[in-house]
Amino acid sequence: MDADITDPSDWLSTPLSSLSTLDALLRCRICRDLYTAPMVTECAHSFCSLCIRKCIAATPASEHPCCPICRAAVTEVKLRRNQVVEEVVGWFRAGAREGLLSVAREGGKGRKRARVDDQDEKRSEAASSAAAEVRRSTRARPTAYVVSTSSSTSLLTITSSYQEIPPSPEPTTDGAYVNLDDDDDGLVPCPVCDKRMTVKQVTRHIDSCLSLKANTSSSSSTTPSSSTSTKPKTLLASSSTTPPHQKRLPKIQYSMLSEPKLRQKLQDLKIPSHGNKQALQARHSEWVSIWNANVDRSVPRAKTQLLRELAAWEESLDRFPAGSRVSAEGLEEWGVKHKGDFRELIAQARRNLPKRAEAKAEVEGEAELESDKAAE
Amino acid sequence: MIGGFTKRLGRELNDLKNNPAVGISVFQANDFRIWLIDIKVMDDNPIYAGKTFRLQFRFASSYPIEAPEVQFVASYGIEIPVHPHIYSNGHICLDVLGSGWSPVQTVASVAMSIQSMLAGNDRNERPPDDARYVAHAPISPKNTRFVYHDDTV
Repeated sequence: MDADITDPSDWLSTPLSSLSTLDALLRCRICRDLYTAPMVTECAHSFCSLCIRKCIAATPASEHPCCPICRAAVTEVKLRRNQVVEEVVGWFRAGAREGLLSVAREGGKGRKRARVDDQDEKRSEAASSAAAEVRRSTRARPTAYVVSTSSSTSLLTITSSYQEIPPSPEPTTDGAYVNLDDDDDGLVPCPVCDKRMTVKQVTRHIDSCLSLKANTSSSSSTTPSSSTSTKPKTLLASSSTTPPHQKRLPKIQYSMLSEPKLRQKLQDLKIPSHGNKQALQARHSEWVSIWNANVDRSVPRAKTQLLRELAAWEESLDRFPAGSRVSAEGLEEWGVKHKGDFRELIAQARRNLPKRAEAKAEVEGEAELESDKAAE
Repeated sequence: MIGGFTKRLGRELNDLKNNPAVGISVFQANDFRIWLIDIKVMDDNPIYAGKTFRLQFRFASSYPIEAPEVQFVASYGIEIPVHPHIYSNGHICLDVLGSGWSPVQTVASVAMSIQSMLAGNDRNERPPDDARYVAHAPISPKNTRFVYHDDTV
């Protein structure tokens, strides 16, 4: 429907269809989007911070909040950040997904062509036509890289070389394959110092490299970031520093507060403070969820953005009033259409009036009714 | 952020259209408020054999935190299935639509629950209090406090 809606099924039509599993695993089961500030629950399930906080906030006060997946009890203050997942999703979202997907789609085209060619070959085997041979070779040439490898090895090569090429928005031309080929010099980087060498050399080199590193880091221990490779370091550094001014907001027992006091709380937080107590309460609760979820982000957003989010939430409430059956504009139409039904109902109610007392006595059965709505 | 959960419905719709479960199809989904989903009972249960039923899903802005409002609707050639937990006005007494709802559930999973609820039924009858319920039922089945006590059907 929408072009910017990404989905695990995007991979299914490509040779990298197994990545659909990875894609699905990196998504929150509540919003079905890639995790934003993933939090892990006591039962070890992960959700976006905002999703699980909203979920907990929506639990009636009479019940204990439970995990949406396994229904084990969860407590909001016991949520912990799932940092590894956050970093993986950050990498995936920042361009790796898009890059991999476009490479995979391009590869898919190549493979499809290859398959057609295979069929051509089979068909022409008996005829032993040289023309078919020529056709095959000319067609297969631009995508020879993919054709020549099995799906598993091409997956490995593409992903491993991908780590070295920073994800660019459009590596999709045929040239991408040539680049990948050129890059694949048969050497692998040392996991410690990133120096490229053959696999055999690495096994011998790694011990000496590690001891060397241990020496240098102990001698210059005051600056630990100086010696090692910087790539993963920067990622870690950006996510582990929580700005000191970002503090989580506490929950409020709304029943303990009078309307003016609650309004004052909202004013103190500098968020809109109009409406009745119910509206104030809903807005405050939503704001606490939005705010606390923002604190869980490795890169929190500005308050103006959060306010925009709150306004959007409020707007969506107005558009879809909970539990209302008829929209305001359709109300008149509804009344005209169901005039007969209403009349019948009124007549029925009048007829039943004397019977009601006896009927009340025998209320017991499949469902208990809330008749206040029925009266409308 | 309006897009947040609308996006989820968008994904669900794509999924329903592209990888539909057996016997479940989208009849109408023009917006993210009301969808009509057709279901068929796939085994040869004589009560429902060869029939198609239509479910109406209504989504509040709080979906999927809150359950959608789900009921059967009758239409030309389409009737409300006869089942001891389905009232003749289309309201369904099923815990996943009320207290048993969890935000990880989807339109597809709810449709499948209802499908299997029909498939497992061998009583060709309405709930015992059908007439009284239908006469007094609130417009939205979500405003009914169902008591889920009968796990045999």
